[in-house]
Amino acid sequence: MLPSIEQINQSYNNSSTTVKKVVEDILSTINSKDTEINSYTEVFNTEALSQAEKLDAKLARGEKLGLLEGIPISVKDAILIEGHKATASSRMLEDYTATYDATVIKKLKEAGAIFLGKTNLDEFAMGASTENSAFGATRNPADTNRVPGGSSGGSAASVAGDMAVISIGSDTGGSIRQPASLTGIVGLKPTYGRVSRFGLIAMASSLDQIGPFAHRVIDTAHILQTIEGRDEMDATSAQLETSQLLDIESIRQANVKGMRVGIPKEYFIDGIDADVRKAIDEVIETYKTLGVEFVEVSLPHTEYAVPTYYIIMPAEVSTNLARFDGIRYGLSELQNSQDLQEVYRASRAKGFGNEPLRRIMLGTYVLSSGYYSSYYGKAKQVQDMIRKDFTNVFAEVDAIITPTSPHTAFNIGEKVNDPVSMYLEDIFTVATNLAGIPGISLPTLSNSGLPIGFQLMTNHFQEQKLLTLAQAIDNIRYDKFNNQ
Amino acid sequence: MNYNVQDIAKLAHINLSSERNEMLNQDFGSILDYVNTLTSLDLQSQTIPTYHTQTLRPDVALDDNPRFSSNIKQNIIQEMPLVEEGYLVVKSVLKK
Repeated sequence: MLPSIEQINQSYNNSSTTVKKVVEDILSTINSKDTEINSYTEVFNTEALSQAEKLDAKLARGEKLGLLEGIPISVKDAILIEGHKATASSRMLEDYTATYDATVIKKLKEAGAIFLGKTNLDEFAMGASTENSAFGATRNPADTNRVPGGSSGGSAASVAGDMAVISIGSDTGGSIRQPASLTGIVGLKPTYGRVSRFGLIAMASSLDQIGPFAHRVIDTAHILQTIEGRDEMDATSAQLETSQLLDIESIRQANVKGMRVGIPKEYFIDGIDADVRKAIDEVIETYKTLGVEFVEVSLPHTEYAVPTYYIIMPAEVSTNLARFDGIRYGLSELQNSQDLQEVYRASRAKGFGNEPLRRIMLGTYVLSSGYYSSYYGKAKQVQDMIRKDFTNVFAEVDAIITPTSPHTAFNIGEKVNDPVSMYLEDIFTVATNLAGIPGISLPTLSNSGLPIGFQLMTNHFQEQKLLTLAQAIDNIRYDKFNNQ
Repeated sequence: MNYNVQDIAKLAHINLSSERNEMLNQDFGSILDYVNTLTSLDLQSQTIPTYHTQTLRPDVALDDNPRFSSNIKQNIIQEMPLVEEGYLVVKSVLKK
């Protein structure tokens, strides 16, 4: 496991290592491991080393580095970095170069982070295994016959495989939390609106949210603090109130005594692997020793979350992906087509893989005349019921605990021909996006076999509580397995 | 549930190969069956909410938006499939 942000920063500032050495070591790991794992779609070797040298020169002048200066970060290839390819792992954008920086990238650049490269994903972030990429599947570093989850599977694998300290991903229905769970790391999906989506290639705009992957909870807090906040370029981004801001020192202390956590009965169902159940029970028992109180709660519309999601999300997908028409950028059949209609149809047929095609078609159908109210209208009503379920529960408890996924990582190819079974991978994660609340997945205290994660959720903008609770288990896990 | 994938493809502006037509014919039924579980809910009294109320900003056109680098115009033109004298080339929109 690579050191944390704070540990790396300390070793830069006390001269026990150099930025160049850290970056070179990680690039060398990428070079030796990533042919098999395939977590990166592009590695910025020269640029990363040149930036490292500049920061080393700053240290040589006797200056200290800020917390994120020289921290090596990978970025999901659906987020724009000016001058670099932004493919969304699609043939449609294979040759597209980003013309501007996403807001999160701009903020991380200003903080001095070093970008190592872009990471693989399910095409246009559609999938739960990173097998839908036009550039080949990503493998799970814990077992290379298995998937790393998705859609941000490349991001998760880059951190889990020690090929990045941090990765930036996006989560529309579980795309940060599920891969974090399957690869054994921490993944945070912030409250909808906490982080600007400007420069994220949109999938379902009302559900998409950018967030970090890391080995340690406190690192996700540092990254969130850097990337969050109101952005003029994203009308849905939130101006945070003082009470919603993070207090890192308080998270570090992880004082969870007296907190009340709900166990939703609808999430602890038949079909959860026995090992997953056992690992979550162990986490709950450990929390109890720290003074956390647990109560059973009910989220009665849980079973409707996935079907609701698979109406709202494709509806937004079909709208958002209408911009890929072969006219302004991306793959174009302009020169091989007779008329304008054929440019659209031929470019889109050639550019989109099967999963984006399925969702565009499904979205077009549910929004079409005569079907709109029976699908989309109904799904929006159920979304409101799901959201109210959470509001009601959060009146009684501080947080909710669930498994992140009903099982550990599955084999590559196992679910690739069965879309509904793949959609059910999101069963424990989509409700969070539908309700707009924050969620985090982190490893349980189990350390045998494949990684098992658990999920915590809190009410809107209560990331302070969320991260404090997560940090308590993170501390225990770190002491148990990494500090012996 | 009446649907014809070729009609939907036409609405979505995508040519469908015969393989993809067959794949979608298979998948569509099972996906729609699945999402149709919502029909068992009584939604008579449920309203459609409007969330994500947005803070509007003044609508101002900027020639040089400081958010972008100065060569943004050139960068965008570079991504266009076909350009003539700085303009995007498209097929004729109106039929002769």
